[in-house]
Amino acid sequence: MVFSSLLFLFRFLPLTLALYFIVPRKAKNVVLFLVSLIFYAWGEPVYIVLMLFSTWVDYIHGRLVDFFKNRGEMGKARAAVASSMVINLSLLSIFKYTGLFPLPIGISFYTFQTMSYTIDIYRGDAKVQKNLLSFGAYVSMFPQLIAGPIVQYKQVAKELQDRRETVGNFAEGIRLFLTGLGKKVLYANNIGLLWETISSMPAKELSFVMAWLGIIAYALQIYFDFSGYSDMAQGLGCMFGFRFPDNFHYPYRSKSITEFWRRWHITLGTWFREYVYIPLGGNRRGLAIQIRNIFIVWLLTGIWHGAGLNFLFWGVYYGVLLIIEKCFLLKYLSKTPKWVGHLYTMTAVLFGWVLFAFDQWERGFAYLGAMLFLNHAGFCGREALYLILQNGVLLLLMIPASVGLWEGFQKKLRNCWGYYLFLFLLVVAYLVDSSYNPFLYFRF
Amino acid sequence: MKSHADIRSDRILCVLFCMFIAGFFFVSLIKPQTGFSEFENRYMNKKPEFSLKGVMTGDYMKKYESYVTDQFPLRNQWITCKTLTERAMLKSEINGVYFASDGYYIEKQDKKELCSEQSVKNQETLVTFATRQQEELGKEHLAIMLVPTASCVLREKLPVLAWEDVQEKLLSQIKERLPKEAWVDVYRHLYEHREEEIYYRTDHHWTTLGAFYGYNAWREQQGMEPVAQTDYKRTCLSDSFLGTLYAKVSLGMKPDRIYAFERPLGALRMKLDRAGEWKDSLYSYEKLSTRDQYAVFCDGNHALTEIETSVKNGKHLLLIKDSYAHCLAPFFVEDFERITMMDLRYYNGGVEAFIKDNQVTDVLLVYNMAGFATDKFVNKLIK
Repeated sequence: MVFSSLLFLFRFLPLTLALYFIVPRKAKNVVLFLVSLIFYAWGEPVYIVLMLFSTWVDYIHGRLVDFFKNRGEMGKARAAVASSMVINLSLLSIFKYTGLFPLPIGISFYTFQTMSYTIDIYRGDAKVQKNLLSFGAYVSMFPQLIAGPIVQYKQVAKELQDRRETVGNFAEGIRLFLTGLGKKVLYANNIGLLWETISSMPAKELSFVMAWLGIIAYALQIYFDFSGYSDMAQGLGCMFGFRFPDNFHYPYRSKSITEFWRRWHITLGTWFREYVYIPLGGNRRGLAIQIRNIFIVWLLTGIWHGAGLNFLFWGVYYGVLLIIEKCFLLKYLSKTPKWVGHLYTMTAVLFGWVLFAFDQWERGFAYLGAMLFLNHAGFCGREALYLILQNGVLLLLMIPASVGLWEGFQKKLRNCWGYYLFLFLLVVAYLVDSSYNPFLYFRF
Repeated sequence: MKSHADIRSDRILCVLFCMFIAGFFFVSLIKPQTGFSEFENRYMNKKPEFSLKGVMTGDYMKKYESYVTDQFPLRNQWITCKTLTERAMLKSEINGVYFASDGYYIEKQDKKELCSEQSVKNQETLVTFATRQQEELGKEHLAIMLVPTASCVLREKLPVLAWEDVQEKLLSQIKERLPKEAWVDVYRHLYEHREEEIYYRTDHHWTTLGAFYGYNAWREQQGMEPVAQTDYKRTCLSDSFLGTLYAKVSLGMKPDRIYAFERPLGALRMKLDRAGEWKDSLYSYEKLSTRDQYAVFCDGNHALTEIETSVKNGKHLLLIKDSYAHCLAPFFVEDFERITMMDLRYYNGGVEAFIKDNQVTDVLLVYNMAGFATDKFVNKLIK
């Protein structure tokens, strides 16, 4: 099930909220666990088994690590952590990279979450969860189940035991949720149509302007779609009294790629930093080791995004850029005017999205050719002008929105319930008549 | 610390949000389900039967989701609301419909689909069919009429910079390959009269006036003198027609008028499908009270529609067609003793066998160009 559907908004959500707020405190986690299982099973019922298996295995491993650690048998505790990693990573590899089964939705998110759980217990950063149902509620929690953010156990451990749902929280949750829903349904889906029109044209016919318009549309689509989902997740979490970490912070504002990755999919970056980069030695063991570590992290980041080779190269592309920045480019950029940094970053990001978007080589290369004016299809045909004209208002709204230019405006509207009601009405209108409402993360 | 105003607006927001989702939840549960939507001209998905097998395969969930979307309360009003928003964002192409000048909705014909493999295959089939039939029936007894849709003929009305319509290219491409005598140059005739009301403003069909020019194009191909509009009595059948394009955008527009061009004639009768009964008119006036008023012509789509006229010349026309032929067919009642309209989307017998078994003397193929290029049943022509 996805949030941006009438089914979720007018069946699942009212029933879930009613059930959740009716039952006594003790049963709230159980309700969360159960509705999350239904939410998960809706798309691919068989995989509910996988979810239950995953929950159970990680629960046992958490208890084991805790048990050995308390008795001071650190070797055995380490073995339990290793065993948990092996099982989680095997699940991930089998389902994601062998291509034998359809990909269970969200598997990349929840395996990463549960791995952080056992590691944190071992490190002493989190306390063990003794209640299987509460642990299940954490693993399968539907708001962040299918598209993040990646919530580490220690971040919600306290709320899992003891949280307060208040009117203030609930209202804040509604605001975040509707904002995210608007980003996804009104912005991302509509600009996605533009990208779909352009990307489905033969690349040799794409004029220069058309090719750039297309990739800008894609960049906007993926940002608003992904950050919209994160907002919705945070919003829903808020309604139930949870605080999930931020996942995006205006990444297209960045003046370097290093900064971009501090603003894009923040929880994934944090995860890799805490559980891969720093354990490997981070930047404390000399430049050579640091470069190796950056490279490993970005190779992994790439393949985390999907089984296609293009994702691997996309990761390596960013790894290389980040290493170059570490070595000398950042110093140089700090001396240049700001716009140079913005221009360089956005150009690099847009070329990156071409790698990300095409899983077939020939098509990706042909598209790059069009962007570099190598296909001799003209500078800007009438077709590109027509698309700019048709999507002009949308682009004029979205581009400033993507760098946070409307932020002040939105803050002023915070207390205006009419604005949120209006937003909701528009979303429903677009959902009722939706010919295009994709779920982009089926490969994650 | 939160101010009183903040707390108040928090409360209002919570109450409104919950009322909104709960309200539509309950209303959509008790609202009677729509079966066939005249408005959208399709069967709406209904609540699926619950079954364990359906749940296990995920089939039940898919159907349930379609049901929720299709049966959502105030569906048409929501669509209107979306169209208004798109218009406010200065879009002039919504759901594949152009908001063209002079109050026209014009269907966009997608270049990719019109030049797809299916289109190439259909052209091949048509050439094979035409070559064969010309040999069988004789040169002047075969006519191919591919009618360009409004986006081609009325291209001057399209929004600024709208993409080139490929139908003109397709037409000349097909004309090149067909036996020369078989081609009916309906495009030229329509284009000459593009200032007149030859297409509906809210529907994807041509008007009876458009079909009249189509009929003259056919007469020209047959080497006959053209007829004049004044030879016909024009009757207005409806002044409240809101067609398929209107339904796609669901936004108010001046309704179209539907006309019939008639001449004082002898008796004629029409039979729908093999098992149908004879009736003595080509018009099904009861259709005027439904949404799809265009079906007043020859009762809309049927596998076979047989017409017997009072002309006694022994000529039998097989009219292989899509719905563009429905308002054209009445013009032929003085030229043939029998007319059989055949719709390949519904007719499953062989075309060639039919021609042999029913003493067909003439064949006319009428499709709209865009429909022909994307039709999946054209291969039945040579089966």
